[in-house]
Amino acid sequence: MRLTELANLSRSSRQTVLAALVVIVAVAMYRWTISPQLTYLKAMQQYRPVIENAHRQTFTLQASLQTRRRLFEQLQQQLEALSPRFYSLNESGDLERQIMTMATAAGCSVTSMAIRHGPGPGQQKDLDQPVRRLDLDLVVVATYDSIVSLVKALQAHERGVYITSLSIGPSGADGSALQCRLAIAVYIRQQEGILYG
Amino acid sequence: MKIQAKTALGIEISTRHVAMALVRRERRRSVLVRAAKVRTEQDLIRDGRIQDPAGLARAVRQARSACLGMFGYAYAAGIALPVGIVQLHLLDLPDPLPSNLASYVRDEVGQFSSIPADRIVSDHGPIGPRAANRLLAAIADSGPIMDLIRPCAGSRLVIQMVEPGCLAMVRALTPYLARSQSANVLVVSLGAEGMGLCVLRAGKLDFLRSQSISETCDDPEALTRYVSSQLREVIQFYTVEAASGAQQWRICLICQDGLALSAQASTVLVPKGCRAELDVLRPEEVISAAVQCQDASIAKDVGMAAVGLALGLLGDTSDIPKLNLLPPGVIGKRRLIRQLTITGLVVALIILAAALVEVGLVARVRVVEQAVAGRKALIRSGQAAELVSQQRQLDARIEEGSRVAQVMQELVTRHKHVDWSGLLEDIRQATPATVAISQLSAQATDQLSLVIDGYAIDYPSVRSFVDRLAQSDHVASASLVRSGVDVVYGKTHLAYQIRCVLKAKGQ
Repeated sequence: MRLTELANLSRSSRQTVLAALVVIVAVAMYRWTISPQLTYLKAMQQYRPVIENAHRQTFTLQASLQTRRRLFEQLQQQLEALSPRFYSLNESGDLERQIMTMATAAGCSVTSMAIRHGPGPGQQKDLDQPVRRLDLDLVVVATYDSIVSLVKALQAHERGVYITSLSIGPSGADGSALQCRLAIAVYIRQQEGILYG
Repeated sequence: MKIQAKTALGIEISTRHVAMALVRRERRRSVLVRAAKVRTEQDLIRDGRIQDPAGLARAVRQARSACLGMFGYAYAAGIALPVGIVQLHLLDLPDPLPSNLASYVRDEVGQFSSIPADRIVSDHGPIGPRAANRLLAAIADSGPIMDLIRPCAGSRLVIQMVEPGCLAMVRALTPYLARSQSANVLVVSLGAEGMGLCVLRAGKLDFLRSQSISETCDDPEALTRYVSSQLREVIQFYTVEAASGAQQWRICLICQDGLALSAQASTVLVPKGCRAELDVLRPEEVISAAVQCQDASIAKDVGMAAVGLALGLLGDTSDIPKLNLLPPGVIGKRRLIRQLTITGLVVALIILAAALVEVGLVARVRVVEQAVAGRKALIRSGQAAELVSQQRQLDARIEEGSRVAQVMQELVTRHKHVDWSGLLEDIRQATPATVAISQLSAQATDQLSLVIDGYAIDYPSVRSFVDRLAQSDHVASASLVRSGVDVVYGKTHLAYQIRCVLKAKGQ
């Protein structure tokens, strides 16, 4: 619309045209400048509590994890303190030789040694049990002193060697040697990775 | 609300000159600040048409420069039209009054004019004591008016009023005439552009006529005769037509632009048989009565119409009607420019406000962004999930470890430990020489028990053995459960069985 045409318009029409121009500019400015910023600000304001909540959760999780780590460390220490009393799976294969060596060292003559793989500590045949019991029946012929030495050696062993029964009787007719029958129980750790990792 | 200007510039454009008067309102008086009159060599206007637009523009520029200086500005300016451009009519209105008076006046005065209808500019105002019934109407061609406005606009003058020059002149004359108590005043102004005749009765304009005197202005005798005839006509009209015609007349004669009448003018101009006195006025006298001059020399060379127009622009309160012949196109255009300016300002304000709001929003967004970025910096992507996963793994291991530790601890504590070597040593120590042990059996399962079978020489030895066993640190109790005579290897012995309850370590 040319200026002369605008000038020829009636007062109300001209005011309408100019008012429309103002409204268009106002709306355009709102749509182009204010609205995007406003929308972005609203989004950021909505995002802020989310990120703060996430941060709070992360902080809580970290604190909780820290507590659990401390608990796990305590558990590790407890298990490390207990584990020397138990044979490992690797050591269990060498158990017979160790007993034999101790008996020989004590001056005992081993006449019989039998190993029975018993159930777990809960007296159930559960392969998932962390500890497995191994029963060993040992029969030696020796003097009373040698038997005492053997018993002392067994009890002083770093692993837990539990004598569940002991029976001493004459070995022969002359009574010079004694036959000692020992029932021994040891425990083997089935799971090694609990302490580490 | 219309703001009244305090300084106004009146522009008088005549055939041979352009005059300007800058008048300022100061409390209750008007002060002529500056005035200028630029004369031209050639006729600027002839037969109601602009002859030399360039010369006119030049003269306007010079006069403006003299009045306002190079950078001066007048908030209100008006043009006093010369005689040849505007036609004045006195109209007696019918009773009842027409509903659309402007249209009626336009139609009435248009009948006496050859101006095309689309170029007619007209205005009207009340005149005379019975103002309700008589009108002074002015009609002009918008073309020549625009030709006058254009050079003014070119000199940065915003024309707000275009008035017939004779009307403006009467306005300038009114304060001077107000000093005398004459009932009927007949004013004759002679100038290069024409002659103006007006009658003021009781201080109010009652009659106005403007005529060209281009044919007689150079001959004083002829001009005197012409003026005399015109005066006679007017006075005769009032003597015959008007009821109060027998009153005393005062005839005021003003000659401008160097016009001169004959030597017998003082006797010739007063009609015979009429009680009238002639008063020849000098323009500076009239100007001095109308406005206060800052410098007396200013009043010598000033256009009366220019001063009268400036007074009209400053809101003169006299009864002289104000007629504005500013073409509607100019008014419309100016109004449009004003509206466009206001619209532009509003738009600029909106843009500025939007920009300010945007700046504010951006600043606010920055603050929130920084806060969020600060938090985000502390959180890695997927950290929460990783922590939860670690926690679950750790929980599983703690649970498993706890179970293993519990089992191991239970095993360690469940076994009732017996100091077997110490027990065997105690048995050896406690065994009397008269007692032999044939079988020794001990259990360390649910019950800690020890059973000793053997032979003794006599019963007291067995009892002594039992007592000694009972005193051992590893034996809780010892009792003889069986004894009897038995023959071993042909010899009689006392067979016995002792049962002991063992002590666990630490009991």
